Amino acid sequence: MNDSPISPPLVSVTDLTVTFGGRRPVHAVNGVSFTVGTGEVLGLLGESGCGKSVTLRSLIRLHPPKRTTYGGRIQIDGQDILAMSEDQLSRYRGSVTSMVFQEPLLAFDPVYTVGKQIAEAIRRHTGIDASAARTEAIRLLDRVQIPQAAERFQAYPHEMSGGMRQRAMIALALSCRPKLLLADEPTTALDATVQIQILLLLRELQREMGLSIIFVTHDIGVAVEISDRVAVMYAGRIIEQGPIAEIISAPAHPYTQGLLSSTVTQGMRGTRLEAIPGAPPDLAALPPGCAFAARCRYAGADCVESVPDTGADAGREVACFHPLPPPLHEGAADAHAR
Amino acid sequence: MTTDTRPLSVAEDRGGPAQPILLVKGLRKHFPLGSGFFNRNRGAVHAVDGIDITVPKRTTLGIVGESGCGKSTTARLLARLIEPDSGEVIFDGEGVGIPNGMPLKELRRNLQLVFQDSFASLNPRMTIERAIAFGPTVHGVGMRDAIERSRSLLDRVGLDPTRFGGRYPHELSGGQRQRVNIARALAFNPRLIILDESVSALDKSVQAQVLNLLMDLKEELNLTYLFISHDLNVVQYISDAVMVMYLGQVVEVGPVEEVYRHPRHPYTKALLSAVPSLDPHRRTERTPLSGDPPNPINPPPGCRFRDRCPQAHAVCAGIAPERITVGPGHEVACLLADAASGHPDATGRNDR
Repeated sequence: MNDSPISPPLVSVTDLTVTFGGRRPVHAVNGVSFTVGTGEVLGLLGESGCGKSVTLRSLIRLHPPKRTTYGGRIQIDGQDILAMSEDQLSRYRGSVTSMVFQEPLLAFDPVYTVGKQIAEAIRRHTGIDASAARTEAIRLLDRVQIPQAAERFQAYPHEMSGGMRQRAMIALALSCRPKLLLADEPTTALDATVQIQILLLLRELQREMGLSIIFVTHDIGVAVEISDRVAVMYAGRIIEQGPIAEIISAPAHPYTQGLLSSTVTQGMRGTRLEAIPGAPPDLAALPPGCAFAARCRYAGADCVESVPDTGADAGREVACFHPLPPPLHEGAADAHAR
Repeated sequence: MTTDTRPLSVAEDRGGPAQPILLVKGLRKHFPLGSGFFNRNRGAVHAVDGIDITVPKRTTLGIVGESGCGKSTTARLLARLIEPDSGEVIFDGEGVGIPNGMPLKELRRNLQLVFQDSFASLNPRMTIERAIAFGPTVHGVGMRDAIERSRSLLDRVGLDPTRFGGRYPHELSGGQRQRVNIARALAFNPRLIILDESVSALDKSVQAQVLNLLMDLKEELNLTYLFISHDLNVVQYISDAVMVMYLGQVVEVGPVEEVYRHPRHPYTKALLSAVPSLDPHRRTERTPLSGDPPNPINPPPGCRFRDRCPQAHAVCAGIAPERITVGPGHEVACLLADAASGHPDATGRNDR
């Protein structure tokens, strides 16, 4: 959160759209705008199919080029990502921006040792000799708290536990000292006690290296642990964004509020959960108005006609015609489901 | 069974409310690792290693633990989807799978499962209406009656039978499919439903809908649930009692509020403090445990948690802790809770 007013933000995404072709084009991302400052952690929060992973992958153009149509603008570290050639892209990936995935077993090549893959990435981007790359890879494995890093250098991905593999993938992602780390639900497949270890490790590395992180998650608890700011997505749009503490204590968009009140937390025992009725819309047939209107209990006639703009207000943005007023006191959410 | 064409009736309550619906003693399942390259015996996965469970009628028992702790194997053993190596399972006073006991067909009518993967649990070539009706027809209900009941069950779980009845599983969303799986379980009029991570794959907004449905159905149909989950918040929400498993064994069991408020086992404490706080001003600052859950292959003697335990002592290597009572219905398997164990930090049974 140390976004100085002089330097432009590291990441600036303006009106990004991503459409996957075919007979029935799927509008996965529909005009997403956000910025991420140097050393800032942005959480992208949303449910399955909301476009959070598609947005993230667009930042390193990971979608199949033939079927994907991009619109808008992605500016990262002064470079225009959507205008890059393949050569420029492969230099950019890993060195400016790198990514960690949910399933590290799929991210590593099963026939090479973990250490070799990390050393190879270092050599590819820096051109140092093999033994120096090896030393650096072992240092990295040690830095992500893998015990006996020198021996683990020789391990194949399947020989590691889930938590160890995720650490190794973080080491791989950070091997070329990127400025921006994209994290796509990296802790979702892990057990609770391991998840918190990885989150703390990421936070520590982020501080130490001055990294910017965009962290995609469906889990509000995880977003709270890692993010400075959070952007909530629904049907391919950011419907609300702002500092994490404000979003949690005073959600302004009815969907954010619904998401918070339907998340089971401590002390909800004996109460009825305030579920959001219905299901998200079909991304191939989006309604003309607000995509959440059909499930929203505050929706009016205006919501069905046009898509609300994001109104910016002191770092808070909310795309809603009828935003919720700030609560009078905590936990004053009115009760009745459906 | 007589060929009664009416929908299946609810099996009668035999022992009255005081008799637990499910009583399990010393349940054990080891999966041998085959023979090694030179036919060496490579040991076994100690998936479930001698566990005792008591589930009173019309309550919900939550089972929590990390991957590989034996939660799901326990579920499958109870439904006899796999044969246990040893152990007794008593369903409302009747032994299961023993001579003169409850036959398996009868058990599976009384005990139903709902799994995590809503898609894999349904036959892709059967409409959901038929999928729900299929089970009761095996038990002698006529097809027409079974379909009629299937449609009323769809309605009950919140799916309009005229709109959804003729659809195939791939035409439904995850939340809708999980409702179908619940309706299918209900078609047998079971008394106990094992929910094995049944809401874990659902989005939060849909998960809340399904949890509300489960709570309503339990009240309405006098059901008993065994709720297996890795989500401690959801378990606290839905359960009356909770059982914590580690490497095939029960480390702690007790009334849910008691265990959450005053956990006695170091593992339960660690598990509870690993739950993200949802308060940006009180983020987690220290990891409660280091390392990953160990492999259940050939676990070490003594306490299985001692390698990761912050309070482990030399005695923990020698003695496998027994479950001892530390409060009403609250049992813990840890030497720390037993003043006579020889652990230097051990306290009495009643002080915290």
